[in-house]
Amino acid sequence: MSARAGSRTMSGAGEAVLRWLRTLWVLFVRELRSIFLTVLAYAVLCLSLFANGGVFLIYVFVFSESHQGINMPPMEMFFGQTIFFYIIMLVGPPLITMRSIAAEWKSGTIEAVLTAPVTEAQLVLSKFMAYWCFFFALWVPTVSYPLLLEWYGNLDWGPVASGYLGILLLGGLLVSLGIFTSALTKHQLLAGLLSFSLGFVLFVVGILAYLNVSAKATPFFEFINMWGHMEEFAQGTVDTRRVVFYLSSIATVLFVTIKAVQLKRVGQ
Amino acid sequence: MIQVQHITKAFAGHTAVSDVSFDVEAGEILGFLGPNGAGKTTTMRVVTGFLPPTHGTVVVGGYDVVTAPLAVKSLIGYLPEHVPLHPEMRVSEYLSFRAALKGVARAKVGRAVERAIEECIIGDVRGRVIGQLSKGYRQRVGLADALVSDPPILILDEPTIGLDPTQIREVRKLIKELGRKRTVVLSSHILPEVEAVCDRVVIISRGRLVGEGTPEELKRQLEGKVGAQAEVRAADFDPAAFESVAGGCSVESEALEDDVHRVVITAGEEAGAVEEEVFLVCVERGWVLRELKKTHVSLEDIFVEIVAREDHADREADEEPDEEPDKEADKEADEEPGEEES
Repeated sequence: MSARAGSRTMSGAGEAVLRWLRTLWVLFVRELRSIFLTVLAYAVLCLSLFANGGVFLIYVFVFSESHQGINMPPMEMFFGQTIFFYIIMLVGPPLITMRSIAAEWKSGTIEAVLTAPVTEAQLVLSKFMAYWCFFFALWVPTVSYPLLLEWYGNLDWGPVASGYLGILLLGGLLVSLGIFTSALTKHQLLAGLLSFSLGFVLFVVGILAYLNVSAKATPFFEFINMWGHMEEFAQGTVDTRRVVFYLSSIATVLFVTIKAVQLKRVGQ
Repeated sequence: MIQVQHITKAFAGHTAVSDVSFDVEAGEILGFLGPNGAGKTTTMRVVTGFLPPTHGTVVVGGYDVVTAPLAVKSLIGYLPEHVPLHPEMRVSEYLSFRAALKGVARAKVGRAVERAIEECIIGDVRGRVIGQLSKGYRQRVGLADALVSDPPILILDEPTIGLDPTQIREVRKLIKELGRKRTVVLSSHILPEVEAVCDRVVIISRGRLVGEGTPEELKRQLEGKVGAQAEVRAADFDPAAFESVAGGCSVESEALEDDVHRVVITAGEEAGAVEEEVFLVCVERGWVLRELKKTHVSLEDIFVEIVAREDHADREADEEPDEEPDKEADKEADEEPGEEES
């Protein structure tokens, strides 16, 4: 629908795509800057650093006390092989994304945005991109952990890279869920709670794979089991099925979000 | 430039706008007048493409709002009712963002922003954070935003609301200037504002179009209407005595004290000197005339009358009042009562 304005002439089509991308970029840059102008951003940044730092410290201690029978490299443990990772993962994205669209409904700025030549798709995509970037920015400082390990010994960087890829993909899905719930309401807290619940349900249903509830359902549980996926990524396996699962889920959630914004706008 | 044809906008449970049609010619300033909750904002949102109409079509500059929303949106500079602006941004930063969003070429953004800042006289706050601006400046930043891409059409929803009298005058002057080379639609619930600024007026009440014309036309229709207001003391008072005044007129009376009555007489167009006839009637009957005043019907009276009449008819039709939900009551406070007594 966005190309409609420019599709009157064939030569205008390329130009229209460029214009579409430029609008997306302008929205994205504004959004990212405005995230970094909120107190919440820095609060979440600090919290996640403290949490990750503390957790990493525990891993290193556990690793050094190998008589306890745990034989897992700290970085592998760090990428989702303890519950701490999922606490941070499930709480962080709802916290940062809850205001994304809800605040626009509340203040009415969405009216200004959508009465400029902007489509709902551009709005939602730019939000997602900005919050996904911010989410990943939360994890960038943790690169110092493997660097530290490298300093004191030898480290295989392959699994570290795939581990971060896992964080990026899983985080992308959780961020898209956060954007989705934020589009539904003007109440930030409600959006946050809702997206936390969605993420939590996804997590719980996924780990049912370990409980052998029923032989028939187990493949399904494995398919969405984020713990299992992170285990693979942490060990250095990049399974195309996982990548496709996360990317297509993100796309689906964003598509539904765009539809939700359209519907909600109509009922304003 | 804008053709609005039979638009109806229904929300769950109520109809905000029903069967409204009007045209806006290129280069004119159209006033959209109506009381709060009449459906002005909804109509403007439909015209700008923010809300799709339930029925009817809107064509702006040759493009249909529903099928070519982006083309329409790039023709329009819109100032929404509550001037939503991103509070964390600085003024010039916000305007640059909006200019880029509206498709102003990268190299021209700086110049476009400078022009808008100059036109709206906000140079002294360009570096300030929007969240800290006063209402008047916010309003002007909103206007600058509407102008920044130099659109041929401006749609301004209640542009002077919340401003102090000096600012109101400035903004009106600004709108008049802007209207010289652009098509402007502005909504207001303040009649003198519309009268002062607009070339043509559309009156809307309870979601329906109830009047249309230039302020002069509307006035001329009613200018002939004269009347008188009198206070009479008489034991044998009978309002019917005045009914033959000016060859037939409407008479309303109320008792103030025991023998004292107030009479309001509204005559037809070619009435002549109503007050003289009222005097003569009193003399003839031997009533004491305590006060006598000649009255003119102002545009405002007509506005109120039209709206009240519609209101009354509507209430008889359905009991449920269908107001727009987002209208605050505090908007009732009229900045200018605009009385036109002589």
